[in-house]
Amino acid sequence: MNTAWIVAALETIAWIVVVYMLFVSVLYLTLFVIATPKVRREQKLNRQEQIEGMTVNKDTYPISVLVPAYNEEVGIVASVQSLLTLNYPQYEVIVINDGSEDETSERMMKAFNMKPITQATREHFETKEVTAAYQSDIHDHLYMIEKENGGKGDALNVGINFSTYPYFASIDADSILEKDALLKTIKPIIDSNGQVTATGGTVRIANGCEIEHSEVRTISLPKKPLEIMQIIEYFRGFLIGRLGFSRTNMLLIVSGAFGVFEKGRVVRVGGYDSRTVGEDMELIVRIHRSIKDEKSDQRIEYIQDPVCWTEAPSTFKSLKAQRIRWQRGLAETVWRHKGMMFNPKYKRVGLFSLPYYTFVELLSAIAEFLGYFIIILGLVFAFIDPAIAGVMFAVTILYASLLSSLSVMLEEWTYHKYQDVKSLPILFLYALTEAFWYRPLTVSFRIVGLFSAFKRKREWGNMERKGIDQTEKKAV
Amino acid sequence: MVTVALWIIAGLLIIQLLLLGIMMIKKHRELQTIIRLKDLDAKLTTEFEAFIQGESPRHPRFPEKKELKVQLMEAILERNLEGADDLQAARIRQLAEASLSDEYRRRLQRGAWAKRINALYFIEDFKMFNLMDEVYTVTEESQKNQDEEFRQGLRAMAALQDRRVFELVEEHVALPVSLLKEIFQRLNIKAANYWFARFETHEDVPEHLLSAFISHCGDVKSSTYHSLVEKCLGDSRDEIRIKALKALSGYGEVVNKSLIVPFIQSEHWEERLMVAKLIGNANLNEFQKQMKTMMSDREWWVRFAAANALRKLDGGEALLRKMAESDKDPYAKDMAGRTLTTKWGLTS
Repeated sequence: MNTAWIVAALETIAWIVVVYMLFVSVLYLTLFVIATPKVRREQKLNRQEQIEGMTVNKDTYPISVLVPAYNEEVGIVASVQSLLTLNYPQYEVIVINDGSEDETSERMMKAFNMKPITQATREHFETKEVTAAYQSDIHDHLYMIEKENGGKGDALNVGINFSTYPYFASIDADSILEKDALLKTIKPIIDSNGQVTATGGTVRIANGCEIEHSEVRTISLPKKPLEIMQIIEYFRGFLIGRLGFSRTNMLLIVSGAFGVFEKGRVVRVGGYDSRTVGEDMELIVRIHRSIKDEKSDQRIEYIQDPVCWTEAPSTFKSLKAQRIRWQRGLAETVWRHKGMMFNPKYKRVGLFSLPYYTFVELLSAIAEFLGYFIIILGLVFAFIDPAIAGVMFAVTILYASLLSSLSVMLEEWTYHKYQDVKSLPILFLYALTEAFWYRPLTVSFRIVGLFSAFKRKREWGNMERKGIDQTEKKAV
Repeated sequence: MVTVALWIIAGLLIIQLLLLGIMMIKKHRELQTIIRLKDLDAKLTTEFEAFIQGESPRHPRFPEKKELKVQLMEAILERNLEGADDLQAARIRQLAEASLSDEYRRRLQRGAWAKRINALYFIEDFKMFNLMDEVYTVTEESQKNQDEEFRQGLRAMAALQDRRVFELVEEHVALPVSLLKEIFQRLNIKAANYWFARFETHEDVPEHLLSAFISHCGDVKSSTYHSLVEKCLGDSRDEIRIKALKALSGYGEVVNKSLIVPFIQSEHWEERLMVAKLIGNANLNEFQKQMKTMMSDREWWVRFAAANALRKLDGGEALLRKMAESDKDPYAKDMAGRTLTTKWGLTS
């Protein structure tokens, strides 16, 4: 009797999960359909001509590039060197050393001949104590600030306090920007006459690429399956998800790796929240909130061009740490802004975006976990009807593998960044395997992340860096 | 049910595999084209340089295939346009008009959105005056969308000195100042004079256009309109006055200095900021005392600009040093310190 009751309950759950996965798949496809016309329309646009005039235009807004760094000794010099060669008329680079325990500061001092300067900083926000400020003797527009450890959000707030320009870009210290990244990202802001208050660009994974002198020379696939799967995951997230959301002004994430913001708006909403690990998403939600509260027409936009390259975790351990941090950040943001959920005052963001991020991005881990559990019970132990487990299996493949392989095609159709034919079938075949190993793996990490969200321990969550620039390695 | 589900999955997989096959073939062809383009580009560039420098009487023979020809011509002609003297530029433009006009006309009339914009970019670069009407038509039609096509259409019209551009920009008050400035940058002085003569006084000029125009005058240090910019300091519109102060900073010169005095104690901090910048850029040493006072302004930006201005004035550095050591106002003291320890000119 008891067993029959458990089986019935499991089968009911199985059907709920099947319907949920089908619903989410349709949602993804809808986002894909929304994203497609813009991608298709802009596919053949001459991007170089588009930004050509901006490099000499005095009205291209000056930007402060903020680089929060915590124990980034491996890649900080290469990252800063890359930032110093950006194609942009007027900008400053501000590295904020958040109390690193390694040689981040010493390497910066040595590489760029940093000299102490007196501070006269505005205090838009309260932060941990700033202990020193430096300016490079070689590059006038490079600064470094030393501060007590307070987390990434706190470091960014210090950078905003110190910055002198009306717009700022936040960039992770382990990322490399394309030479025209700032031009491409600021363009929607200039074209909209300031109506666009923040922009994010597509972030790509640099693992496997040949990078020399802080520039991506050859785009190629990495060898490790774990890294290849993350490339596919990024395609799915950026090309299908974010573009669709941006088109409808519902974008809730501007990647922490790279985004451009109107400083005035960020100051008005109180800056980054240093208590959360998902400070990038939390800020965007607060910006949306303030836009709606003020009944402003401003918006957040996402540009589809790949503008930023970042190092993805290459070990299970670092991937796990990253996913736990992401999941925690998402959970904390959703919880903090639960008042916006289904609130008509916040229009599309409250009625669709936030519920989407809650029930799809955050809680899908539970549904997927249950799905795998049911498949095992049905197909391996024959505990529940194999037919139900079979349907579940088919839907999981559709949900995890076929959507990812579709995003591989979308990438090829739009940017085709990989300059050889063989990359395409490799990516495609790896995408098909997603449901069988990578998905269960990340689902388990996300479940752990959900639990850890309750613990509320703050940390930078840095992974072990190998450094993506190969110049030094080659020299050795 | 399992069978149905599996069939659906299998069907989707087969469709994707077919798409993959098609994409691989397409990619292979595209990569081949890229290699071909690279080879042809290298070969034709050498021949073209000889032609443009007058060493060869004829331009090289570009491939017959239209797409290939257009791509190569655009790349080679554009590259050679950079650094070309007047005669060479004229030859390049003549060749562009003779070889690319038909294709660009077709693209503007029947091409997709991206193709039309790309055509507009090159029409502007090659100054293809023979396509002026087509450019106007496509720009006028795109004004309802206010997108990149409209913006680039306006730029191209200005580059071709098509004065109908004024009608379009006067209609759209929400156009960004930066775009309007780009338009003024492309127009010659005759066109600007023609436009400005349509208004009795500067007060009659729509705010968005006057802001952009005086700002442009400051950028290019237009002597013709210097007095107009100074007159704008007395304009009733806040934005115009701020833009006039900023433009005069660009000139680095003020003829009637009494006009700027009221701004030193303006209730708008933006005006105080701009006048401090102007005093520094124009080296108006007689305002040193006022700059010292402004170092204690309640607004950080004004203190910042005043400190940078002081640094540019005679004896300013010594004064800043004294302030950094012993000024009673801690804000002024900090700002003096910051200005002295940061590198010259960078943050001004």
